[in-house]
Amino acid sequence: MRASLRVTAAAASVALAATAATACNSSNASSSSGSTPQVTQFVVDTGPGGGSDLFARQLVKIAMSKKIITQNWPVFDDPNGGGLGAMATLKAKPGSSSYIAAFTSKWIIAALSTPNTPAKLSDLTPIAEIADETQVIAAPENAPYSTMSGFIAAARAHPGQLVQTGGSINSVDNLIALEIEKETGTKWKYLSFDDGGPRITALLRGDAQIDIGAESDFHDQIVAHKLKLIGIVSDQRLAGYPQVSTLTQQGINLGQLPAQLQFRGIAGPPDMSPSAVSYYQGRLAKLVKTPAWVNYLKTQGLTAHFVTGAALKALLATFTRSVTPLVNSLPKSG
Amino acid sequence: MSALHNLADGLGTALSLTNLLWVLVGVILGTLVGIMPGFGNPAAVLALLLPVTLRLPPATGLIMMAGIYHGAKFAGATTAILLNIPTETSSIVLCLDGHELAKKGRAGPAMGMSAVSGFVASTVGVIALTFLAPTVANFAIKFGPPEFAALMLFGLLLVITMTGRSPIKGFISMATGLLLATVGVDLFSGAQRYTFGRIELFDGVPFLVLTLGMFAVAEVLVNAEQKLNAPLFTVPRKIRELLPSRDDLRGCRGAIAQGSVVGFLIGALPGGGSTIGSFVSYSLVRSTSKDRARFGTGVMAGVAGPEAANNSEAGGAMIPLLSLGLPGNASTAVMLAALVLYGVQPGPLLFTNHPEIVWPVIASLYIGNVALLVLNLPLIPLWVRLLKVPYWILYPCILVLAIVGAYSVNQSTFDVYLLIGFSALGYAFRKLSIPAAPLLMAFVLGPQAETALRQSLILSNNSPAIFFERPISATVLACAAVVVVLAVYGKVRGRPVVPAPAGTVSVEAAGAPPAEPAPSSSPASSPERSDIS
Repeated sequence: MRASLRVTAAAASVALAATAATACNSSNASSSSGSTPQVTQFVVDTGPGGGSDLFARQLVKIAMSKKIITQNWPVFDDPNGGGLGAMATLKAKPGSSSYIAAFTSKWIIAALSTPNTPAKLSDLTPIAEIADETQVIAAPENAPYSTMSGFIAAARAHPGQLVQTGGSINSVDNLIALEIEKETGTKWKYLSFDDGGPRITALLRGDAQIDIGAESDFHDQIVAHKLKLIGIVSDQRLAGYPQVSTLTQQGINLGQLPAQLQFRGIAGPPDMSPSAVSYYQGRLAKLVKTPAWVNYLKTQGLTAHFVTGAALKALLATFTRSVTPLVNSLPKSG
Repeated sequence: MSALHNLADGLGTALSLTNLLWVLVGVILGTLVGIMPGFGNPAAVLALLLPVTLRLPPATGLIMMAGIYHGAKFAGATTAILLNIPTETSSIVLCLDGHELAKKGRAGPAMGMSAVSGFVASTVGVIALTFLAPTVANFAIKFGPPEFAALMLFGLLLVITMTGRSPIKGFISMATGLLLATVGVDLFSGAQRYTFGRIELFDGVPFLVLTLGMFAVAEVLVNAEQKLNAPLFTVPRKIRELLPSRDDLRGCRGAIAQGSVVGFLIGALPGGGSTIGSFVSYSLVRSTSKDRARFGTGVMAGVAGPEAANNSEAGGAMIPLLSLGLPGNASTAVMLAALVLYGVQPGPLLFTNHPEIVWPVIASLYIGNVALLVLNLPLIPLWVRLLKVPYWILYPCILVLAIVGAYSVNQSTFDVYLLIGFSALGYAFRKLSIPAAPLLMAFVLGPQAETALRQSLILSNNSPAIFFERPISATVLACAAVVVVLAVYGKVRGRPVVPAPAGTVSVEAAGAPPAEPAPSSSPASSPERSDIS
């Protein structure tokens, strides 16, 4: 009896302490808005263990261990609406220098495809682009074609019969496919799965013929001779795959789509002060040069691209302009 | 025999003193997380602990993670049985018979049975993983959308057969669950369904918030108004009554064996997971049982089967992770992330290229389970005493934990309001004697069934023939048909015995703990039984 009482009491006090702690955090964070932030909350758009969450935690870990930052940047998970929630969180703190977020190119698409979106990436203050994930096209090893143009010829022979597997209809890989279909006048099916695993098994099983993603998604299956790459969606071939040509080299026009399609960067709230922006840019510029970070990007299949200022604004604008007509061609949501 | 040799090597590595210490830390941590919903789900804890585990050697770090995984599973079973709060989707089934057993004063045996069947099943799971991994991996690849759709249909059939005394009320509950499951942004079309423009609802209703409201808070509300003075549970004094009897164990042998196999096979499917495994196992145990009418009123086999499936799934889930590099559920997804951060790329070559990691992990899964059994059997009397805590202490604590738990899912106050709404719904369900379990099951299975069905129809250009043309899908559908026949047959035969609906049995109804039914109580049911398992 006594023991169980103690257990429950302990549980309750832990719970209370937890609520108190979160309350303190948020009030501290919002009160400071000087040039060198006292506290930095790092907002990400996935739950714990998700892609952006691990990316942010790894970034903070390396920055701490290399003494680039002295205080921890606690990661705040706001997975609502695949980026919309995280954007709205930042939008609600205009002028604050205590909040940053790890954005991806998906945030632009999410806002474009949601008529009642609470926030857009262009509402926020972009700080830096950090890395880009080159998109590649994979097919089963025993497929009768070894290039994307071969797949397109097959799609022309069997209109609406071949299958590409991927994520949601709004994902970058579907937009790439829509652009290629538009440019080549072909049509194939898009099979959505919410996890990456079933996409690979769909290819291995023969339910789907192609999948567009990062090289790291397919790496081991390629080494094991189960899958092969049939095209690179970029302006350059991929290191390690000199024999796989880019789509342009295969004569496939990607229209307006830029070379960087799946990028990651850091943004701040609207009207973040220029001194705060340059503070974060300084930290990040140091971070991206460390061997630990370079090595981490390599394990994730990411290419380093450190872009700030006007070049970053132009990059975001180009991406937005080129995907808008594609997103508009999708069935309207909301 | 090289597999056996490798496993022995792995056990040798995993059994170092440091590793044993870390597996203990993992099991205790996992149990704490599973007991208190406010701490978040095991996947979240694993993710938060990634930086810590990365300081350890790879095998040690993964061993600790396996400990957390097992600990959280057992803790989910504990809260479901004792308090009717399933903190994990895979423990929903335990609310049906496990909590009824607790109300009859048999909480200890139910928890013991959960631990024992879990232990036996993970032994089966680890042995199967050691010897059958390549074979089962090939089977798992063949399991596509039509096969999943057939399996989900099977699962939803179970929900229908479990609706208790009033099929209409069960149907209301299931339909509400399916409706709640549609909330969110649709994967295929990007359309918003019942989100009312709130981004908090774009990813659907959080499972934990729904369960805490429908079960935990509703339970507190109903009990608080009914029995402020009477003790809520009959708590046995004798230590012998705290563990499963020999009769219990003998009566559940078949259920444990069946659950182990089902759980392992379903766990091996990418996207399968223990929830479906435990549902399917419960359905099979129930429909092959000689007195299926008593299921839902506190039957030991209704705990043993699903818990076996829930635990052998861990062995099965490692197959897609280790041999294909594909995680089967959220927890294995985090372990995948850890492997990658250690510089080990899981995939078809992991077994040959990194045996020094794979085999200790397999061995540690097993050790995690043994540690759980050793730690928890002696602790069961302590857990059961939780039921003796007076309501005026227990209830406020549950309410605080529920609110903190709901808030911590997305760190959003919106979810706390959702919790209040679902608590009201849960209270209304209790008052109207509508069972809540079909709602939760439909909520879990509904979206998966819908996704698999739509994917299948995309593949077949809208022809339903795809479900009968593919052999595995056709087989699963045939099994489902047999279950329907058995269920109808059971309803007709079982008329005189009126089953009480789950969750509404009054405590006084159960005096002495009933033994497992004698095998002779229902003759002439053997011909059909062999068809299924």
